[in-house]
Order: sequence, then C-alpha cells, then structure tokens
Amino acid sequence: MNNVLVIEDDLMFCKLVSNYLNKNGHQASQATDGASAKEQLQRAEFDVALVDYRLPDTNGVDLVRWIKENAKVTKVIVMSRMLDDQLRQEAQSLGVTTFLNKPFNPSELLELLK
Amino acid sequence: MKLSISKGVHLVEPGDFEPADHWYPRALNSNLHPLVSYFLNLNNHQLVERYVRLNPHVQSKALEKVINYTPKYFKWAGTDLMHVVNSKGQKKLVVIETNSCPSGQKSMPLPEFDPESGGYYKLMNDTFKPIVDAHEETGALALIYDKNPMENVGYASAIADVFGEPVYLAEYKASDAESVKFQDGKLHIQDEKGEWVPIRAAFRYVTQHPWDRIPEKSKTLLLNPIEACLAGGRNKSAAYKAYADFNQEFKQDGLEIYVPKTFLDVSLSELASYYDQLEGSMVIKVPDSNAGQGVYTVTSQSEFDKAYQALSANPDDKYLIQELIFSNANEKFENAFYHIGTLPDTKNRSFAFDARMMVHATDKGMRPLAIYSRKSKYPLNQPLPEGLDSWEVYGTNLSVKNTDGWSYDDVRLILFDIKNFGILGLGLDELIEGFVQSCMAVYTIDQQAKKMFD
Repeated sequence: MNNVLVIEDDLMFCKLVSNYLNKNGHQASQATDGASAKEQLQRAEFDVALVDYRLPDTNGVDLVRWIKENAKVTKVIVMSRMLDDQLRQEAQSLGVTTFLNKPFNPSELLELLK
Repeated sequence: MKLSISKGVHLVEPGDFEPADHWYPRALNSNLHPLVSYFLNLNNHQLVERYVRLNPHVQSKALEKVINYTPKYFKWAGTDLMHVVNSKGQKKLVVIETNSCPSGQKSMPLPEFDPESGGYYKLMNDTFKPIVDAHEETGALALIYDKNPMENVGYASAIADVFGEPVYLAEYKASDAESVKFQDGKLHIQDEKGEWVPIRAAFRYVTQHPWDRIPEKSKTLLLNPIEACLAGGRNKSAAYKAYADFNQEFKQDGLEIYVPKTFLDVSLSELASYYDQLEGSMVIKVPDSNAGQGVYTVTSQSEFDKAYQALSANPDDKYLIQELIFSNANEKFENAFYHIGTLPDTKNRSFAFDARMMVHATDKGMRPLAIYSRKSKYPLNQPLPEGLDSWEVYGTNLSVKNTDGWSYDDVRLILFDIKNFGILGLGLDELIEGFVQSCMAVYTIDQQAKKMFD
C-alpha cells in the first residue's frame, strides 16, 4: 500500500485516478495546483507523488525540485503529454526515474507503484 | 479507460462502470422504500386512472396526452417540488423549477441489486440510445460536463456499455476550452494525436450559461439540446411563461401546474415596490441562475437591502419575484401557503424540504427515473436566531460553490429508502401528483421550445 499524492489540475483526472488507486489497495489524496500540493506535502508524508508537468501555478520540474528539497517522498512520477528529451533530462537530473506518458490506462500506473 | 487523451478529456470504455463510484455510499447500501418501488412500477394508464379518481374535474384524455407526450427537445428533466398547505388545509406540490441537467442518480437507491436496474442505464437504454440510433450524423460518442463528476463518469460508463463503444468524457467549462469545440454546429473533441474527432451524439451536463458555448440546432445530437435550456430548462422566467401558457390551455381540462404567485421582468428599481406590495416577504430570483445561486429569500428590510446590494452589480438585469412559501401558518397572510415540512423529529424540529422528481421520455411516454429530497439547514418551527439568514430556513439546495469547483452539502440529503422516506410524510398519491406536475412542466417547456425554435 502506498500513500499517493495526485498532483494535477484536471479535477476529473484526480477523481478517476484516486478512485482507481483506492480500489486497488493504495490511498490517494489530491492536489490541483502546486501551492496545494506543497501544503499537503508539508502536512503529511507520502510514499509517491504523481506530478503533472503542466500545473496552473508552477511547472512539474520546479515542483519536483521543491519536493526533493522539502518533502519526504520515496518516489516521484512525472506525467505529461509532451515528455520530450529535455524535460526527461531535467527531471532525471533531479533524481526522477519514473515517467508516465499521457494518455495512459490506470493499470499502467498500478504497475509503476509495485 | 484511458486517462488524459487530451487536456480535460478521458476515454471511458465498455466495462468501466463501477457502482461504488457513481452512488453515495449510503444510497448504494440502502433499500428503496417499497412504496416508492410500487410507484415506479405503476404504468402510465394506472397513473392517469388514479389521478383522475382523486381529481374528478380532470379530463383523462388531456392527462394522457401530457404524460404520454414525446418531447422534441426536453427529453430528460428534474422538477423541484415543495409540499405546501394553507390555513384551509389545502395541500399542494408546488413546482419551484424544472432543470434540464438534473442531478440525482447518485442519491437514488437501486430498485434491485443489479446496477443496470438503476437510472444511469435506464436513461441511456430507454431515452438516449433510441434517439441516437435514429440520428443520421456520423462520429463518436461523448459526454460534455462542467460539474458533478460522480454522476457524469457513471453516465459516460453506462453509455459505453449500452452502445458497446468508447465515450469521450470531456470537461467543457468555457468556450475557449482547449479540447472541445463546436465547428459548423457539430461538436468536436481533440484526441491524443491532436486531431479533432467529430461527435455524432453527446450527453450534455453543462449547467453554467451553456448557451455561451453550445449552439442552437446542433448537428451533434445532444441530450438535452440547448433549446430545452432556453425555453425554460435553465431559465426561470421562460419556464414561468410556459407554465402560465399551460394553465391557460388546459384550464378546461382541469389541469394546472402549481407555482407560487410570480411577477416577471422586474427591474432593480422596482424591487422595493414589490417588497412593499408583498408586505415584506418574497423571493427574488435571477432568471438564469441555478444550483441555489442567485436566489434571495427576503423576510426583513435588512435581507432586502442585502439582496439589493448584491443585485446592484448588474443594474440592467430583470428579475423574477415570487411570493414566499412561509415557514408556518401566518395570521397576517391568512390564505398563504406554508411548508408542510418534515415530520417533527424527537426534538420537535420540522424542516422545509423539496423533492426532485427526475423524469425521462421513453417509448411508454414520460416515466419517473429518480427521486430524492433535500432539507433546509434550520427548522421551520423555531425562531430564527439573530444574524441568521432566512435562506437557512427556506433554502434546500445542496450545491456549494467553492473556489476550486462545486461540492455538495450531502448531510441534508434525504433518500427515498426504507429508513428515511417516512420522515417526509409523503404518500403514493403525492408521488403521483409530483410526477404529473413534472410531466406538465416538461410538456409545456417543450411546447415553448418548439414555438421558439422550429
């Protein structure tokens, strides 16, 4: 079981992923922007942060940098529809090893959480 | 399911329906009250016979015409009704509004264990599929929405199952949405390759000023189309005009849509004179508002001033004013209607409530689809504490507008299940009355849509 923070501005996405994870033995929380994600990460410990690259108030790389410096998260997964090499390298330089290309089936996410 | 096909769009596939995601847990784990189940199983012939027996002045042919009507535009509706009485003991179910994107499935106990016996599948099987199959446009299927994710994923999943094909589930909150557009009157949704997919039919749950972004005479079949909203499904003034037309047309047949006394097209500067005329008690409504927003109950000068100030931001707008349905019998307004309210609880508190009757058009005529109630926050029969707004006594809507979207104050929800239905004090004949009132409202709004758009 992982405590997962889903960080994505699409509320429906948050709901669908959270429902799916909760039904499959994980515990999901939701944040729809960077500020709310930081607040939750300061308040509670998460095993996994699922970070959308494009957020209304920050980009994924800046948020990952903040997470690495300020939060205890075992695994960060960056997801995007535009996972180009530059973005991948930037995230990798911050220690991110797991990426998820959109669109994806929620079962793919489950595999990454094993 | 495929998540994030494009910005705000997901692809729902056959087999994705998960009952626990589309009903409130307490609705999913409840048992429908047998009386409600009995009501849902009455056929339209039985409903007419019973109604006419109780209302012998009603012409059965006229009532048959109304409840077996096939709407052109308004095929799915939710009518909000209030159970009222006056000092002479005359009871009525009064129509407060008729909604063209009604919520309610998540609050309706299943008639049987099988989720397909519930309203999500019934609406798709009996209303949506027949009209889509008869529609000649080509393209994919979609659901466009701006709120209520719990029900909309349920509807999208039911569509996928009923049609055996994937459904684009697309947020459509603004006309500049990245991934949804109407082009030449046809809905298109962006797929994962950035290409625009034409849509042959879509279930529409767009509630906030949908006419800003959805065209009339859409080539994509919409349930409901925007015409249903403009003719009264999302416009309280247009709806009231339609009710008045109905009452005129069917007066000889003994049929009447019950509505509080209403004044239309009232300007900001005229509000004060209505406040005086109605002796300090009234309801002011912004005609195209919904979800409890833009409705002001006024019972004092300070509440009038507060409402006036809020409405002053749009000085050229016109409002609808209705007589207040009072909290209790009132000597000052001898014949006025007041809320019957819930049965008193052990602390002797009785609350105002409404009943939402969801109906849909089928090959068997209009049929009831779902029903639930919502009660107010503060009881009718206790003095209002100083500083508390009268909305707390009269307002029943559960929608709460937050900075990041909508939430629901679902503790005030009353299910029509074995445990809760009794506290409403409603019987089978009230359910039939509510259904008839709803059908009459749908009939006349659809007639008005035909006059406006055909």
